[in-house]
Amino acid sequence: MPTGIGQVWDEEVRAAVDRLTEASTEHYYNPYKTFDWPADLQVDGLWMSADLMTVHGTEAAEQLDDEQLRALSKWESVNFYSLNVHGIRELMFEVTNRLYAPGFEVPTPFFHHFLGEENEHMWFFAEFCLRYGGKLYPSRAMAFPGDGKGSALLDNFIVFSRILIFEQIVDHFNSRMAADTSLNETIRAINRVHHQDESRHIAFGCQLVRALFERLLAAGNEEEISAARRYIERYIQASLEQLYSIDVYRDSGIPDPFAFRTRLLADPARQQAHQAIAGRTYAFYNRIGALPCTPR
Amino acid sequence: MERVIEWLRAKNPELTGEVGDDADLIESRLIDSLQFLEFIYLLEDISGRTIDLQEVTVDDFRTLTRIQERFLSPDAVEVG
Ligand SMILES: [Fe+2]
Ligand SMILES: [Fe+2]
Repeated sequence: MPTGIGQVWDEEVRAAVDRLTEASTEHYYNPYKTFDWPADLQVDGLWMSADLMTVHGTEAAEQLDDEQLRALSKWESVNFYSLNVHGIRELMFEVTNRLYAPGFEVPTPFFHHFLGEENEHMWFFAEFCLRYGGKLYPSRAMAFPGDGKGSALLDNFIVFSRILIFEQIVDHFNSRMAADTSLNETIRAINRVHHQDESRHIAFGCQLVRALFERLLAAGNEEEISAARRYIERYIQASLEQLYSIDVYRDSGIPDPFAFRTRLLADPARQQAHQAIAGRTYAFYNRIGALPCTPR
Repeated sequence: MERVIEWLRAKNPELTGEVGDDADLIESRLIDSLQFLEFIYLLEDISGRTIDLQEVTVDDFRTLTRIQERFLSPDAVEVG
């Protein structure tokens, strides 16, 4: 069986590329003129929806006063947009590396839209952080030398899965905040615009990942397939945990941020919250058979 | 350093023997990129100092000896 990446893209992928390329062309907009950036952002209540905050539903939350909760909502939202900026940097790097590369002729037309749109997303998220938070939180991730040492098929499955999982989790936040009428209009607008673009990226990513995993099942060995499944489960968990930022808790004036973070992560209410945040992701990977517990 | 070893054991239940001071933690996959955030938080909690990733490399996390020198000894320079 041929294992070249070029063999992976089936009719469904081709149809998705055509449809999404057309949709992106149709929805093209100038992000630099899209938003109002008031000099002073009037935030009366919270900066992000209460149910998206890492303290939501926990015992620890009950000990925070209103002032701390408001500060936390501000810094947690700045962290969320900062994670977007760093995540986009990684995905732009990976996608740029594959533009017109042998085997990527089929998805390349959409890669152009994807890259163009992501460049713009990165700009408006960073703009928000710098204007209203005065900073971006630095990335706390580091590439390890063992990363990306599998077969081309496994590495591509992992790379496009990282992008998809990141986009789906972010989109859970975006769609919730776009619809939250208690939030400031600028905050709702960046979340709404991002959500609109991401619906295309996520549809694209689902197709690429599905096709890559199908080929991995057909052509890969047992060891690779179980490595892929373990990776997905661990990557989703790691993505959820990076929402819990020590730097954010410290900036919000919470004493002993390390113990605070540990308490939150151990709170049963958060397991439920994680299921909600990553629900679509778990459902997708279950459907294609790419989680360790999936019988296939 | 006890907390670091305790953490490594908790994350790697298959690990039964000693962790040598100069054993390569990255090559043997006792630490990997998906656990890295938790690991730097652990080091920051122990040392009370922030780690700026612009100032360090993967090799600074490779062995217990290096971790001790770089992040945990009282005269380790502030890396944040
Ligand atoms: Fe985006
Ligand atoms: Fe995207």
